[in-house]
Amino acid sequence: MSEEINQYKALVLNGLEQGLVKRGAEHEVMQRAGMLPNHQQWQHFFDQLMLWLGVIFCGSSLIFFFAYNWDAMGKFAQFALAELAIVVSIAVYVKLDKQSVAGKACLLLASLFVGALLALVGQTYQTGADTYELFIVWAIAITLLVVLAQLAALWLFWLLLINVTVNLYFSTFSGIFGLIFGELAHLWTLFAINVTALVVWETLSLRKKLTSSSSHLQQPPSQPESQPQPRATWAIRVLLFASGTFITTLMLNAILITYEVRASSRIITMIVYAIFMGVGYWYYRHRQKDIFALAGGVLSFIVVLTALVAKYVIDIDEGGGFLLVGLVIIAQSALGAWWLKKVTQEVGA
Amino acid sequence: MNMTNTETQTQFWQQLKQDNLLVGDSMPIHQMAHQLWYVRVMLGFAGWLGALFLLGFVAIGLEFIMKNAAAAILTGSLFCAAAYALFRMVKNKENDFVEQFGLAVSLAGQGMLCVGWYQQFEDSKQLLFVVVFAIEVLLVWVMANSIHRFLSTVAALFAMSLFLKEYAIHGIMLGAIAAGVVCIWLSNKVLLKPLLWAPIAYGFVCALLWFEIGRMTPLFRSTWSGDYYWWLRYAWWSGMLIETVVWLVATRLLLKRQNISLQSKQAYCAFAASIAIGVVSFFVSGIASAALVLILGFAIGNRVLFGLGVCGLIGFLSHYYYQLQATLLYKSAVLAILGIFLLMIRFAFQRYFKSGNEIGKQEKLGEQS
Repeated sequence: MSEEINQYKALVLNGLEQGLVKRGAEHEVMQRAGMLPNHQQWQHFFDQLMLWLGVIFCGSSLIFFFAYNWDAMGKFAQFALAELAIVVSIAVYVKLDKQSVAGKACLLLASLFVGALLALVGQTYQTGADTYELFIVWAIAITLLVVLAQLAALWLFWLLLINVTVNLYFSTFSGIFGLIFGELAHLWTLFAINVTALVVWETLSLRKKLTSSSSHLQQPPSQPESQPQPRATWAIRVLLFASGTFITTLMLNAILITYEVRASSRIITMIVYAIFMGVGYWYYRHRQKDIFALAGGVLSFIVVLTALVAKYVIDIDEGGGFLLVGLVIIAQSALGAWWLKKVTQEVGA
Repeated sequence: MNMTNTETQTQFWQQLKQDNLLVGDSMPIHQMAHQLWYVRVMLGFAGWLGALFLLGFVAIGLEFIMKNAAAAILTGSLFCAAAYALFRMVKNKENDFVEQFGLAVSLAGQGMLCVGWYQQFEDSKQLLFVVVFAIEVLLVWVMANSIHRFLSTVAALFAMSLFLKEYAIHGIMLGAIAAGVVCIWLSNKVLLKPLLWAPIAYGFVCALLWFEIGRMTPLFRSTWSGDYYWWLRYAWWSGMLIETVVWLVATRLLLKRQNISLQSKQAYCAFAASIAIGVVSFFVSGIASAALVLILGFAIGNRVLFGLGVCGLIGFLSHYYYQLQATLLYKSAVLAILGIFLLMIRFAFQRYFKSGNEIGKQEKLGEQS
């Protein structure tokens, strides 16, 4: 949250809005407050943009190429091409500084090429495209690269592969698993995977933060200060969004589709939802203040409570029920806005 | 806020004053920070959900209103007027309940207005879309609520696109919206009057990305009509051509902002990249719009725009795989050429500009001007 509170930024924005900055000097003032990029930052941005777009386009190009299944090119030549691409990208990684952005980009490229190679295997031996085996093998095969890269985007890509695997697996075997876990087994699995990833990620970032702050304290004053590693907020928010969406969907199923969901399953869903929301509230309100997580929690709560009220009220009187539910939503969101504003002020203070 | 922060801020402001960049002697009055974007999204969604239920109440409880055009238009107008009064009542005050209530009432009112005008102009869709556009523009202007202004901006642009679709020229809206995005974000309007212009600016950005998504869905696919043959074929291309021009204008403005001479190598590189992106967008739809949002986000230090641009780039590239107008081999070649071209630009950039000589020259030029 701390990166969102730039005191100069607030000061300058207020000054601009109140007409205290000379006309024509707006950009100069913003530049001095560090709100606009300078030449060096532009250069760095341009450099990174070219690198990442170039890498992603090249990786996608090879995947598209193998998906085309070009007959004019022999199978051995295709395999050789895919393997050569992996070897070259890893060789470039080895040659470059391991911690450099270019090195990490090479590992991302190699990860994409592994997918292309596996797709080619599936195509050649007729194991089918878009099967869950392809995605799980892809995820397993690139695990080492993902660990080496230490790149949030690559970790999320790895997790995406796992999510796709689960979806494809349950669309294939829903019959057998449906008998044991009910129709919602895939949602439960996806929730469990994403929430586990979230917990692991948060724990590791907390540990890293603690380690860097303790080493920071132990450093002699003459040595340059090491900056604590920033928490990959955006990646954590993606995981929060995914976990929150899955558990909210499960709750909606438990409330609205009662004929398909067993009573015991409904109770379990409610308990898990309550734990998720409770722990989330405690952690993101008191430990690692994050308004995004709290706003997501408020939205989830509004949706769930609305479904609950709507279920019981609309059956009694349709017209009046709609009005009541509408008013309940407005009241909840107003209350949520007031509370979030209060927390934002606390965090900013 | 602790003392150190206040002191640092005062010092910073005094420095600006000494450098003759300010008007008057006073420090800015500390106002409540504007709500974070995700809180606004949450409130917007809740307002929209509340409006749906209010609309449901009118449709079921007061059925006759929805069945009669005049009654629907009158009630819808009254709802909007009530919302206007509510927003005016709490202007410069903080009353979340009234604001959320006003938002839901206004959205429900707009729903009724759409139903009423639809019944009125059942045979003339063009008129319906023009009326909806006019209503939304009026609401953007008068409703003192940022979420409302954002939603009305998107609705107005959507209505205009549907109006143009009736003549098969909706493709040019792509260029028009992109021009709007650049004009608003690169002017000082958003900074000087954020309450009015920030929601409009975000509305234009979302409309631009939504429009790009819309062209990939049946929403903006016109039915075949011999009358509009030329436009059916070339309106999208015209839109993309306008967008490329917008890219060049944006590049020029950004170079000027950085005090970089238009005759410098850097400027040539930037213009070449802009044209390249414009050309690529003819093959991979959506790329130019997403990249424009990304660049603007970086240029003005706005992380929301930057994030939207990144998401747009990933989304449009992923969708490219499923587009049927070209074979996968062709698409693969396009991506390979583009990828290698970008990496070569990076290589050239590192080789020629990272030495610092060029930057030093540009900075000197900036100081002189």
